[in-house]
Amino acid sequence: MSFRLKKDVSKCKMVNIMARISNKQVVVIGCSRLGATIASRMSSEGIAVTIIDKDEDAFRKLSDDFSGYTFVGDAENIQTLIDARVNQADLVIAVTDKDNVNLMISEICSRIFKVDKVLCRIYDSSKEPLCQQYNIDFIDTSKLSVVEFEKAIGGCI
Amino acid sequence: MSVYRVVVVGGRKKADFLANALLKRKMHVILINDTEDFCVEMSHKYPEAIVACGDGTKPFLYEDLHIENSEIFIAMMPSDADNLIACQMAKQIFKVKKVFCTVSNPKNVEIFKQLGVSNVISSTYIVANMIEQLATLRNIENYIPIEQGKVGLIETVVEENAAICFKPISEIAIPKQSIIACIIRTGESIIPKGDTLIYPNDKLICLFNDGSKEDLMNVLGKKVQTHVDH
Repeated sequence: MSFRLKKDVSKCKMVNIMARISNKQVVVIGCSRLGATIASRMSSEGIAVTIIDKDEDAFRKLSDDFSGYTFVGDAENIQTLIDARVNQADLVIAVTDKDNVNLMISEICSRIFKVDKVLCRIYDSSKEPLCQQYNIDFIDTSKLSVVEFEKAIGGCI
Repeated sequence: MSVYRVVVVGGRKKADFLANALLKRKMHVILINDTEDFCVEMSHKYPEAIVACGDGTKPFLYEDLHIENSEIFIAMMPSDADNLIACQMAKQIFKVKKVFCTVSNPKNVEIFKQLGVSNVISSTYIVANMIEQLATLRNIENYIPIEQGKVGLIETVVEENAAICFKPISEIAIPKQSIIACIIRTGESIIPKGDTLIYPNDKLICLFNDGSKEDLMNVLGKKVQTHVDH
């Protein structure tokens, strides 16, 4: 009896997680190589994605089967973020080519729009203390590359 | 007495003007700019200032220049995001006592306040607001917006035939949320009380809340124009 109950509970959890992922509103800001790839992959998994870039040409980097929304606008302007409904998103990924713009967008999304989860890409590791100060979740791509390079070099030796 | 250090990041003419004014007050000035020829020009013009050439949002530059515990940090770079990040770093990590920045998008004044940078100046907003006020109010000599125009301070001269002439302040129906703060008469300033009389050609300095502006103007005999005279 108890075994059956446990099984049912775990099944419930699984269904919940699936529902949460598929209902998530994701906004990717900056159609960089990284942004376009993340957005394309999420879209192919059936997640609702909106991608914002100030240059319409940038959207050519998206995969052919991308079925999300594209939004042309300057994300440095808060009106663009509101127009693209970033304030209603569950997950925001800030991956423009400028660290400071990514940081500003992340702060606006998490502290003013109260978005659940905000992720930010940074190139410059020296901005880390600021991210920690303001509880910004960041991914330091230069640091990640260094780790991978070191792994590869270690493998050679 | 310890040195009063002021850091100015970005800006060309504004930075030049500011450096000149601050150095005259015997302050210790640190200029950071990303344009090399401007830095060279500034270092010749102000040999007593420290001039550094580089990206004004990089913490290593702040470390090299020892800006920690400076009194004032002013960011005037063209990008609003750069100014926000520079101010936050100066304030939170380098413990600068007061930070200021300019923004090009007026909407960012309120946003930066919410993000912890309270001294934000939007010249677009201030100038547009001043022109609007000066263009729509007749005989206003000076208008100063305070708190993004929520409160205003005006200087206006009482006309010969105005209804308020020769009346004590207590008999004038000054709208709520506004006051006549000072009267300038033949070069002397008077802080008025209820029994102070108003004479023609008095210059009144009035303080008002934005909502009471039109009522105040009507009482003072200054009509608010709906369109500008030609």
